[in-house]
Amino acid sequence: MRTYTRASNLDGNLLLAENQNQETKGVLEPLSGSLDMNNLPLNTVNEAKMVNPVLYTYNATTGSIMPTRAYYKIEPRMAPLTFQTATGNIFQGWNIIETDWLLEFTAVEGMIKGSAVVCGYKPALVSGGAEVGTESALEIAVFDNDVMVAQSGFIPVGLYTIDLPYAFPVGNEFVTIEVRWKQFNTQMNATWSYPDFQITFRHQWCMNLYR
Amino acid sequence: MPFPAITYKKEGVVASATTVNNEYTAIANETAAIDSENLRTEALTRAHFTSLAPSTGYWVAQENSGTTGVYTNAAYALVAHGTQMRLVVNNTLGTGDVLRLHANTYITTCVIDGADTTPLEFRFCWFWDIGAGYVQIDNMEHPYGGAVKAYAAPSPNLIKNRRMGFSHVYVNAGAPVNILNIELRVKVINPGAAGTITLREDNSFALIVRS
Repeated sequence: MRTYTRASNLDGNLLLAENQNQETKGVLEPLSGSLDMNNLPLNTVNEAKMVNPVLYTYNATTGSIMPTRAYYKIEPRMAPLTFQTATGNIFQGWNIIETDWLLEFTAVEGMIKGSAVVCGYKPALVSGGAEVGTESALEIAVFDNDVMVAQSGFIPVGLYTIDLPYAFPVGNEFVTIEVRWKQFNTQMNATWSYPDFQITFRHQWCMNLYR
Repeated sequence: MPFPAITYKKEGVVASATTVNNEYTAIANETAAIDSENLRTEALTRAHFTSLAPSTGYWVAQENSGTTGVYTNAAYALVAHGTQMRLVVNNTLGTGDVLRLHANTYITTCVIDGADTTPLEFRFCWFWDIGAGYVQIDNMEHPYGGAVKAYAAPSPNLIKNRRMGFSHVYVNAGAPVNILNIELRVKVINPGAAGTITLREDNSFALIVRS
């Protein structure tokens, strides 16, 4: 806080009431409620900052919209999803986990920070003492309006919960955040077939921090 | 913020040194709390003007002494080697408030009975006590586990020497909830008798986000 000396008190002098009052005024006014430019930026306190959080629901997305930020989430889902080559629901590219598993909201200009918590299970099998399935890997990625904003990198066979964080700038726009997965044949084995893949526990959340 | 006991001086009346010095001391004491935080855009929000105190704190438990803990429990139990992963919150989660949770743990070894025919699996989960004993938060669990079977113990392909992380967001859409404690727990879904996991460094973090 800045204050400005108006008149110094000198040794031996009587303290003048006017000087003393003015000296303390600069400090006391802000403390007494005169919040001005020396203390707080313009617009720091306004009506919009005094509102209660507003609960949000849109399709599978729920959340809480606060004055300076908003949190959005999808309630955790536990039902296992199995993707099988035989049923044709595994693609070479990015596979959609669930069509309705989307974070959807109208963002306010600023940043979006969040995480996709996904448990993926790709079993390895033992055949004649040799393990198969290790020549493959899976990957999880987060897309914002169809643009990739986070990628897990290769995940080996096994049961893994991946907490994939992301952060990206956003404008005043409607946002759809989606998580997808894909598999790789890391050995370039021509006879290799995609083993079944399962996704179990999953949760999405993010925060929109306003400018 | 209380303002100092300052009295305006009347012209012609000499203020005593004691009076003036006390006032200077009072001003110095009260203004000591004014710092750069006043310049944060979220410095003043609705929470500052209600009986619900703003939540500026967070709760964290960290175990980084190198102590290891072996877990074989089939039911969820507190991660308690070294520093316990129990957060003593004692705070109210108001309507529209958000509880944000983060945790991670280092898994050193994971042992499965060689005779087992199904993979060993272990899961982490947050429990909270909101006055009626510990229950799972959102029923969300974070599984990890082995990929293979019929390997001699310890299986080389079970998850080990890895740091596992997970996060969660809870939006309170209902009445205010008084959170007493939050615990990070683990359990082993063990098909045989010899399955164990060994944990080392871990931490658990909770934050109440309030508008």
